[in-house]
Amino acid sequence: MSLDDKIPEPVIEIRHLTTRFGSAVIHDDISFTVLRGEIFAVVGASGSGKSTLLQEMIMLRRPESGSIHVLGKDLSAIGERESMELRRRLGVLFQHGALFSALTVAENIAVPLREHTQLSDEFIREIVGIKLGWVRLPANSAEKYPSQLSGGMLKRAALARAIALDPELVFLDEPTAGLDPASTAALDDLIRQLKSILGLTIVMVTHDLDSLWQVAGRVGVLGDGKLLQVGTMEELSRSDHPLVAEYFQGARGQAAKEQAWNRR
Amino acid sequence: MSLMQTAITTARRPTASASLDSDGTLHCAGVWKMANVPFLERQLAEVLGTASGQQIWEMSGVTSLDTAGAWLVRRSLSRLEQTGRRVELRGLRAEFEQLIRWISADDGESVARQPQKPGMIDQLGHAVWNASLQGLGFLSFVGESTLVLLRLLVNPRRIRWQPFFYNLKAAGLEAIPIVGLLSFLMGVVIAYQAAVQLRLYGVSVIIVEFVGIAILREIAPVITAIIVAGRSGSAYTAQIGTMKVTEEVNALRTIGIGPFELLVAPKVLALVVALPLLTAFADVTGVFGGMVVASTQLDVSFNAFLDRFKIVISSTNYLIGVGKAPVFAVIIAMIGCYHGLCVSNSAESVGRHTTVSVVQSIFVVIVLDALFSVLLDWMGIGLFVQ
Repeated sequence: MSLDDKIPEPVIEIRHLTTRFGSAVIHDDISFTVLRGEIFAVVGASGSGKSTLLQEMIMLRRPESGSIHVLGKDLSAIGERESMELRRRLGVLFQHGALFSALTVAENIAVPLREHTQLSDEFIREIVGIKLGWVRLPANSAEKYPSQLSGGMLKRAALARAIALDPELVFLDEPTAGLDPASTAALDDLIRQLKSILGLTIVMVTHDLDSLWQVAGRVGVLGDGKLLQVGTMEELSRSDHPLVAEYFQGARGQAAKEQAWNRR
Repeated sequence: MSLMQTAITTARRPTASASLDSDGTLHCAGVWKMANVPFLERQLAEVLGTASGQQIWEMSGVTSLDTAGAWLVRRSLSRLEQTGRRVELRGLRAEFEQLIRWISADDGESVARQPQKPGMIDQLGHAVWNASLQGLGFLSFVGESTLVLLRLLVNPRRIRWQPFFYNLKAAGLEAIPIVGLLSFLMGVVIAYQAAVQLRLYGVSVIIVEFVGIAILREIAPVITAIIVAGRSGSAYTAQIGTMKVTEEVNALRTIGIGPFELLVAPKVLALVVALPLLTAFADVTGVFGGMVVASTQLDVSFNAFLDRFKIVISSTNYLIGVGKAPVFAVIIAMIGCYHGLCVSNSAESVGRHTTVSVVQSIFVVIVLDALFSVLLDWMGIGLFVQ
């Protein structure tokens, strides 16, 4: 968050990425760039390799060929130590939260803080309180275990853990899946707010057309192993590519678009 | 003391500083981020202890600020204000000001005030309460499954035969190698220990009574029950527990299939059939282990051993051993299934309940075995041929 970040620099650069599961080609020569400070969404039908792409960007999986640069580091040539440093600068919200079930919500959020900083216990508890406040979780949920939380609260607690270290880059895997409309809208607001105040760059995988209209800056559409098109929602909703059109111009896509227009 | 200058820089991380100049202005500069916060916190405490009255913090030198840095500022301000001192922040960048404003002061402290861990009396109370709840829960489980089992015995057509045979195979047939091997080894071990003593007194042939009674009455049923508790009891808990977590148990209920009927009853019935059979097999391999040692160490041939076995070992021993098996089977299956149904909706609780279920069923098996020994002795059911 310093002044010289005004000119957008690439935060993620993917070049000629190819991924295979056995003989099945998941990604066939995909290239795109995510710029600092933007909210970039990846969409595509089920099985189009969105989650695999996410796993490759967060160093959980290696692609067969091609290069991925995250925050200026080449993931294929990164050492153990460098990758640990890089991981500290990333936050990940997993699809099902992935909170540690043996720890309370507060302890979950404190894990990255304890692991990577020398802050005192008291200070960590206070930071945890701030993060809980940001994601609108009541203070009494801090001492609850993940199994005692509802789906929406679980997602928010997981988001609080993902942003515990104030990462520069946050990956969200289906952040609004399984949430009620009110929680979805609140999460959308939260994501926008985090972006504007912390200057986060956000990469999200989602199916939620409303969320895409509300939150996403640019959207990349995966299909047939290719990146079919990258653009703003308005560009994509006018696209003449058949697969893209199918995704965005169906009845649900139209409804989401109208709603987004009405809200403006 | 005209010039009070305390420059704060660290040798290791010279990236942040807070220094107090002669007119009491605090100059803050550098990277106010998490990594520097512990250091800045110490230094601020030191510097601010001496300052008094109105204070000015010159923040224009701060180049970056994250949550921890912002919270440090916010927290220091509110603490100073509590002691009646006023602080004015100057030269703060707009986005940093926004961040500090966004961190509402009570958020951090409200969680910090939350009680950390309950006290000892509290924990004791919870433990007693949970234990009694668990006891009651097990009682109601036993009641419910007994009802279901009785209903099935009255109307055997409603028994689910497919899971029954599957469990019979998994808990019985597939356990044969391990039960046989371990019982054989137990027979060898016992005979070996006995052989040393018996040879000393020159009564080698007593090995037959020794091995026969020990294996048939105690060793074979108990070792078989322990192996089955470890193999199958744990599997029952894990299987039913996982189904609880994935809501399959609830799905069964909504479809109108009672979980007792489909999940518990076939397991109990299968184990009641399998465990006595396994015990009988363990009897054979255990006695065979004793025979091997008798013939190699004591020169008691297989034929001599078996001839004496027929005379001195009454069938009562065998019946007592095999008769204990169904009781153990019910215990193991019930405890396994009960803990499976106790699983709450987290994967971690599956692991915890699986461990508890195995420990409890082995514990109960051994306690019951001891009770059997005492009871049978009282009832005068003897060891030898009458």
